[in-house]
Amino acid sequence: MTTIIPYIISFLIGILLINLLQGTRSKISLLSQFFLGFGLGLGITAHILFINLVIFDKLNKTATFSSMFGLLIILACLFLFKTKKKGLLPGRIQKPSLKFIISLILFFALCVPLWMNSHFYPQGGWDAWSAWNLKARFIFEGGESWKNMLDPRLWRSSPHYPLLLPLINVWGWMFCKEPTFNIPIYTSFLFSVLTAGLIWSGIKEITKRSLSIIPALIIFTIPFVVKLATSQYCDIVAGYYILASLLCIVLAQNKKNHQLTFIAGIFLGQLSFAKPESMLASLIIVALSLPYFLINKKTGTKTKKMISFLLLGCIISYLPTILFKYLYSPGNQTFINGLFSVDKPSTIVRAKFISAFFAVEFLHLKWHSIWGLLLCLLFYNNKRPFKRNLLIAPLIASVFFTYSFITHNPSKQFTLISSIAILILLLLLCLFINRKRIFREEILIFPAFLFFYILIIFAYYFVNTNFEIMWWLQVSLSRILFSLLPAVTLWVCSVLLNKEYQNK
Amino acid sequence: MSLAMLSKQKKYLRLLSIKTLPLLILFAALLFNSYTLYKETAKSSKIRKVLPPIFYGNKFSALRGIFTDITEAGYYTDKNLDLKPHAAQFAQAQYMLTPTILDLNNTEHKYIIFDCTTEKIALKKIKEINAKPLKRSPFGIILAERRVK
Repeated sequence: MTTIIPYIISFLIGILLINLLQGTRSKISLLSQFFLGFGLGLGITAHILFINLVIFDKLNKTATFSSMFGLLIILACLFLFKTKKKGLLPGRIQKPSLKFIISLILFFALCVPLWMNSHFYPQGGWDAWSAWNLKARFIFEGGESWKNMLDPRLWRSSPHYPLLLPLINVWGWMFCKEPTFNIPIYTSFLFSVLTAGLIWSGIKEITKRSLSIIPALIIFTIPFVVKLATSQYCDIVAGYYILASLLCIVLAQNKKNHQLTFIAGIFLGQLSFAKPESMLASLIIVALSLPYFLINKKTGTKTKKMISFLLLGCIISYLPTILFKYLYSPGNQTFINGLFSVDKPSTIVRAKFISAFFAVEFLHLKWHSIWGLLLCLLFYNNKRPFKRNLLIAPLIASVFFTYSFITHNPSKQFTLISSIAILILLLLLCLFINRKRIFREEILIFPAFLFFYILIIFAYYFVNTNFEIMWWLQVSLSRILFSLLPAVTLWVCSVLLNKEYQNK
Repeated sequence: MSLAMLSKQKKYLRLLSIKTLPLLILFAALLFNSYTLYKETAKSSKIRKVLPPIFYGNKFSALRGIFTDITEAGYYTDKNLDLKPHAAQFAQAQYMLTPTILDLNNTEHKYIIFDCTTEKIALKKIKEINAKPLKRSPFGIILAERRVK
């Protein structure tokens, strides 16, 4: 029972904060508040723990409990004061519809295999015990020696990686005498459930459709996705915070609610504290959100306020990341700049391998063709299914053509490259034809982020020649794509299920 | 054909129209994914009932009480760490013995863990570096202490 207390405290902090930060008008639904609030609370508790770690140079349980309970009491008092003042306490809760109840039952049904899979490997996957949970144990048990985890001799545990997930697990252990294995299990299960729930509530919030649970169920019933989500890695955490930040930005724009941009800023800071690539993702989203608000006519005169609140949230929430990077991080021990290296240069062959691997990864059967399905749904238009999308059939043919050449004729490099080139050209053509629906202003930040993020990831694989490229792609690319899958799903469903988009 | 049957037919044809096509595809995908997930989960569940998950780090759990005040220790092994099980054992040993840093193949530390292919090799190395075996686990892991000259 004591093991769930930290999660309850984090949940309360998050949900109270979201409620307080939202205005009285254009609030997000209770469902969205739940799934956003829980993740927000977990991130905030991790940040508070880190600040305590910096101040006291070790894990100080008294200070941590005081900070958490103090914050909880302050938020609770502010919440009661606000609701008393504005009379917002719910008098009558609206009766949920039958479709919502069915969605809820399906959602709980999804939790069962996620819970079971979380327990099949109690210590998690390789990166769990060699990196994430290792760091958590150093912080929990190390006293003043917690910084030993940053020792260059532990280069295998990636000491330059930020500490969001380890600190969430440390917070979970605060009511335990020793670092039990069940806390990381609960954390990975929780983030899997929260991500599925956020896909559900996000699609429902944007499209107002009652069937919005379906995409979340499809994604989280793919065995490979479930395996990655429950392996106690940080990829599901990164995926959650990418989705949460993008969703808050889009909802803020839709509802002209500048408080949501502040919440988005906080999520972006938490995202930056998860992994090095998620630090990159958060910077891309911040950079793109500025023109996003400027070009969007919906925000109107509130644009400056939106941007200011977003940046304010970022400034507060980026602090732990900046402190970690400049005070503690030993830097990336596993980086060789191939552009300047004589021993391990970046070559055209390396670029070809990366391109081919991207294609192979997207088409791999472990994904149950979800990427292909999402792509086809992106181009689907129920009003004019064939008129503007005549290229879908040859596009699908090109996909099979390319795939068969990759698998059966790996030596025919020219054919392989030309197949990939044709595929990319057809894809670009389809995107151009459907540009008005897919790249509408309201959701433009999704494709823009995905494009720049993938581009920079590609560039990083090309430039960093420390690792043998095939091995590196095999162990990492699928996890990067996995962390993007929730955001891609939300984007595609926003295009597909939104009634007004389908008229274009 | 009666009017009722005709209207039923029309209703079913409408279900198969181009507008409902993505919905049908999504439902088909959901059914397929759910079935495969059920199969995989059931298979893993059956395996887990018979075979618990292997965690090499458990071999070092007996050393946890000894390493409470030790910040660094050597970890000597003659095993090939390019092989996954051996690399996993070293990484899991580190995980189990936090916050002590295990310095791979460095025998200069006061305390050194010997994880060798045979006990004979371990004892030979212990003698070579003038160390004294302190503890031996049932899994062949030996903890030794260097004699200070």
